[in-house]
Parts: sequence; structure tokens; C-alpha cells
Amino acid sequence: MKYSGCHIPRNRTGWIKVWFLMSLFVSQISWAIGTLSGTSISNTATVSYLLGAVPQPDLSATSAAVLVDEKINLTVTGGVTTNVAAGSTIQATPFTVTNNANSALDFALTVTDVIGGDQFDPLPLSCSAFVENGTTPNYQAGQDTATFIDELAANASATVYAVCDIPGSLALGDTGFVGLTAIAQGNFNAAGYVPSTGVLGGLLAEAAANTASVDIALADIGGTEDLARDAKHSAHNTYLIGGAAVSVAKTVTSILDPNGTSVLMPGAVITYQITVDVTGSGSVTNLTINDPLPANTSYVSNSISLDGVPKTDAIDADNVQFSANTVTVSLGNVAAPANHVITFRATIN
Amino acid sequence: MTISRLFFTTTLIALFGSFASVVHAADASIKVTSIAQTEVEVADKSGKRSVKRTPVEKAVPGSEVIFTTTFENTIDKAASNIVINNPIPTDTEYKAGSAFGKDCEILFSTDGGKTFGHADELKVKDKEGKERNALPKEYTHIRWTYKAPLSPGKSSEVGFRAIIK
Repeated sequence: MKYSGCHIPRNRTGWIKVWFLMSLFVSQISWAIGTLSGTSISNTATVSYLLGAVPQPDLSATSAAVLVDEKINLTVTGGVTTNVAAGSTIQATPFTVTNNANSALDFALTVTDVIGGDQFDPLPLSCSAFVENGTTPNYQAGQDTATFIDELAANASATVYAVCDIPGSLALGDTGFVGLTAIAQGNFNAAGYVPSTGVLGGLLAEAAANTASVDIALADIGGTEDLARDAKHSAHNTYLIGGAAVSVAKTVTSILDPNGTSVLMPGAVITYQITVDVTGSGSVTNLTINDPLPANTSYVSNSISLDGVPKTDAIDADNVQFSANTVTVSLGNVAAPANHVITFRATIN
Repeated sequence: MTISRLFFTTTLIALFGSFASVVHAADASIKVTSIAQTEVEVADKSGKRSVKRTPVEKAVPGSEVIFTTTFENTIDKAASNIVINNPIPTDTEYKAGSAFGKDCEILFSTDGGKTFGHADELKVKDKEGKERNALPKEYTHIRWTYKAPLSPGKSSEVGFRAIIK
């Protein structure tokens, strides 16, 4: 059974009432996160009636307004593993901070570096938190300089980087946890949130009783470094010491004997090639290749080249030398993925 | 507004323990008031718990508010065909099954008050144009039709619960 217009039967009164409440209807848009604090909600009922058979003017009554209070809630999302090299500095790992409250808020940020259950901590006092400014993806030291989240709208998220220095002398696969805590802050009056652009708003706490201002209710859950209902939330990311692997292969690429053929005989010159592959992620530090010459061979002076570039044998500024009958190539810190080719020649005695 | 009417208005406010506003036409024979309340659990001295309604001035999203409209016949003639039309307040959702009103037929609208139907008959169309049963949170209006004439001096009340979004 469907009703159209008024329920009052037409044949009984000869009168039909048309409700005209569109202006009240159009503003009924659903909110994803919650009604903004400071909003007033009231209820209006309209009564129509007859005296005898005579329609009377409509009567309306509106309830007192209910002021919507502030429900503080926020989420820090971590769980990201960031590959780093031992001894590397300014290593950023990203977190997401979401404002789940019913107003815009500011968020103070702190980084926790000493956390149990891992193999290392970032260098003491090396960690900072910076907010992604949206210009260039990933952490950019020159751009992402804000140390708190300013005016984050309700239901909006921001990317925050914990940026730390990594100690040296760590083994591949070592992990170090880093925590980020976001603290919701803001100023409120009876009309709701009061923006404070460029300045961190005040700390938030629940009032003991109703105040003239919008009251604060804390509804956040506990995180890795904080408790429930403390206007904070926190999570961990992991620094992983690069899972980089080095593989070395040595091959003979040519043999040239004194007769101009490829016979292994005294006086034949052998060209050796060593390929170095650094695979995986992260980097390796102080990578050095040592290759002692085989017995009964003589090194051909200044025959070494690295990646096609000739190098001297002397112990000098270039990273290649021949001494103590050993070819040594110092590649230093190598970030994966990388590939290097070393060639040199030797004569069969 | 006469002194006596002002006094009556004040009395009503005291009666319902809330800052209700009373609006009526100059010669109205019905007085209408609307109040907003919340339920709180209270314990007496023996520790027995009970639910009590109190006026609500502030609430966080997710809270339940009870809106009650009272109508009273204040003249010596019976009023008939009393219909109370109530849009669900902005920023709130109707709580399923919460509408109340003695001797009333209660109908709902999902289209801004253009059409009304019983709760179990209301349909809405989804994005593909397919009909489905309307959800209580999709109601836009409630309408109470008081089934009997309201005798002089008598009053009655209707209301519902809304959740702040």
C-alpha cells in the first residue's frame, strides 16, 4: 500500500494537505566520518488538524538544539619494510596518518627509535619526522620539511616519514624497528574547531563536565607506543639491512699462442674476465675482489681494465692494483642492482 | 503574547525539563512542543540500575537522541484529523523501529515527504534502477496520523530516536 501526499481521506474532508518541506530535505547528505563538531541539531514537527470540518493553520515546534561534540580518533598505519644499507644516513620510511575525528585537526609527530625485538636501533638522536608536502613522491629533504601535520581535514590522510641514520657494522638481514606516534591537537570553541594555520593547536583532553565549548571525547584505540583514549596513535615500520647478494664468476675469454692460434702452451696469453653481480636490494659495503694469479703464469703489466676502462697496476688513486702476484679491485659501497666487469691478461710460463 | 500564555509556556519548559520552544498561531487551539532527550543509566542507593531520560544539550557522533513532540488541546472543542509531520533532522539517521505514538498510524517517507508508506512496504531504487526495501537510515520523514479526535484538555505525544551521524 502506497500513500501519496496526505493520509487523510479526501472524501471525508474534501481537503488535502501538501507538505512543503524541501528546504529541510535537501541538506540531508550523509557524512562519511561524522557530523562536524559545533553543528547544531534540532527537530521540527509540524501539526495539522481540523476544528469541526475547518482546517486550521499548521503549527510547528522545534526542539532545543543538540550541539555536536568532538570525537577524537586517529590512525597511524605502518607495517612498511624499508631496505637500507648499514652506515647509511637520512633513511626515510613512510607512515600514513589518518584523521578519523569529526573536524579538522593538527597532528604532532614523534619518532621512537629504541624498540625491543629487533637487531639494531637507528643512531641515537638521529630520527626526525617530516610530512610529505605533495610536490614530489617519496621523501625529499628539501621539500618535505614540515614537522607536524597542519589542518588535516576530517577523514583525510597524510604521509609522514620517519627519517633516521643507520649504524654501521650490521649483518645483511638485520632489522631495526622505528615507531611513529601522531598526537591529535587542536583548539575548540562553542562553534567547533578553530583553525590555527601554521601553528600546532593545543593538546586535547576530556573535560570533567559540560563546558561552554564543544566538549572533547577521546575515542582512539591504543597503538604500539600509546594507550586507548589518549588522543594518540602509533605504529612500527622496519628498517631491513639490504638483502643484497654478490656473485663473482671468472672465465677465460681468449687464448693467443705464439703461433697465432689458441693452444695452451708456454708463451700463450690468456685473457681472464671476472664479472661481479650485486643483486637484491639495499647495498653492499667495501666490496673488494682479490684474484691471486694461478701458478706458472705471469701477469701482463698494466693489462687490467674495469668496465672497459684501463687501469694502472700501481697502488694509487685508481681502485685497481696488482701487487703480491694478486689482482685487487676495490669497488667500495655498491648499491644493488649493479654489475662490474674486470679483465686482465697473463702469460703461461 | 499575553502574560498567561507566557506563564503557560514557561510551565511547559519546566514540565519537560528542556529548553523546548513553543510556537503557535494567535488563535491556535493546540499547543505543540518538541524536546530532545537522551537516556542515561542511573543507579539508586541499593545499586538497582534503571534508565532515565534527561535533556540533552551536547552529544558526539554515534549518540542516540530521543525527539518527542507533544500536542495538547487547550480549548473547549475537539480537534480532529491531527497529523504530525516530522522530517528526520539533518545530520541524523532514524533508528529502526523507534517511532512511537499512542493511537497513531505511523508512516515513513524516503523521498523527502512526497510519498509515505508503512516501514515494511517502503522501496527505494538502487543505482541500476532495481527496487529494494528501504533501510531505516534512508527515511527522510515520519508522519503520525492520530486516529481519534483529541478532546478538550487532552494531550498526546509522538516521537522517535535518531542517531547522530
